[in-house]
Amino acid sequence: MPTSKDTKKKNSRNNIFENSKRDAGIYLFVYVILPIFAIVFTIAKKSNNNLLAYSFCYLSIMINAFECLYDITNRWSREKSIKNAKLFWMAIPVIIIIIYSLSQFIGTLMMEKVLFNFDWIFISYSITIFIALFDGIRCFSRDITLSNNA
Amino acid sequence: MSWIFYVIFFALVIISASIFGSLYSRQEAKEIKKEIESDISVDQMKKLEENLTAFLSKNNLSTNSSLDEISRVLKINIGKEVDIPTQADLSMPDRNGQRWVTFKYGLSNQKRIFAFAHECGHLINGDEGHHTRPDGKNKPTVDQLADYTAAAILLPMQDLKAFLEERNYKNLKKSKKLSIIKELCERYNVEDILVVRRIREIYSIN
Repeated sequence: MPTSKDTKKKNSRNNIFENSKRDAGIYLFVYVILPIFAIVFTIAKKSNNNLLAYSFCYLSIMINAFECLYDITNRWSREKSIKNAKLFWMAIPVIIIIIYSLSQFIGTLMMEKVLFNFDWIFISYSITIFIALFDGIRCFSRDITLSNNA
Repeated sequence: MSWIFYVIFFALVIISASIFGSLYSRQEAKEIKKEIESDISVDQMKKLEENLTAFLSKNNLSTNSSLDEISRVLKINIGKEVDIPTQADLSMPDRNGQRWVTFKYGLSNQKRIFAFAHECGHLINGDEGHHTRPDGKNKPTVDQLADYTAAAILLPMQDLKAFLEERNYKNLKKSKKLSIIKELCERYNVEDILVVRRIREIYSIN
């Protein structure tokens, strides 16, 4: 007996990239590869001795996170869908990172000392990475399947 | 925590996402393959093509008439989106002979167009009774035939055949075939699976 689940499964709009390989490729580079590099270099190179450099590390991460959040809001669609649910879960860690980075940036500049260190919060970005990569692979795989059967 | 921990952690996330993504994609690939395969015989396809051609010539329409023109002749109109279990529902004719197609909430534009064409297909095929476009696989034969007619309306055989021959489609590499499929999707405003299926049907008939 056919169900509405079948429509949802087959609906390309459940993929956050709407089956666009180009969109998936660019997103994975800009919002997966680059942020991972940014986070790792921040952790590796930041120095408590130079507070300006320390705070600017978090500023760069925050800017990247804002861009990611802007991208997520642009993908949001009006009707309820699995895609919107995925985007919601992608946005949560980004918002957490924005709040943390902002508080580090402002707190360090204003108080002229490192107030706290919860860098493990960046691990939450793995949720965003997981969902983006999952859908990205589906985009590429779909095109391979279509070209194999064309 | 050292930066090495973060590198290892993110690497593990990427690997696990890749594994899960690949496994899910495999399942999707099987579903796509099932959708692409024809569920009616070549003889049935030929009969439906002849039926459609006869309908078009009887109503002074060309073989590449648009869905709008065909629906005007059939007196079928686009209705609202409602909460129904099927993708589309064709009403009985009103006192002016006009019928309305209501659609399920949340269908993509391309799915709505196809569902509308499907309902037109039912009338062209001379199907009696109340018509819908069911979701999912294992549709009744009458709906499979209406699906074929819908594809024939949206992707006219002669047009598509000429296009494919012009591009020497059969001898192209897979990547080039894919870009042609994408081009056809944009040109006819249909889904890629429909285009692939239609191309296979045309080659099996001819």
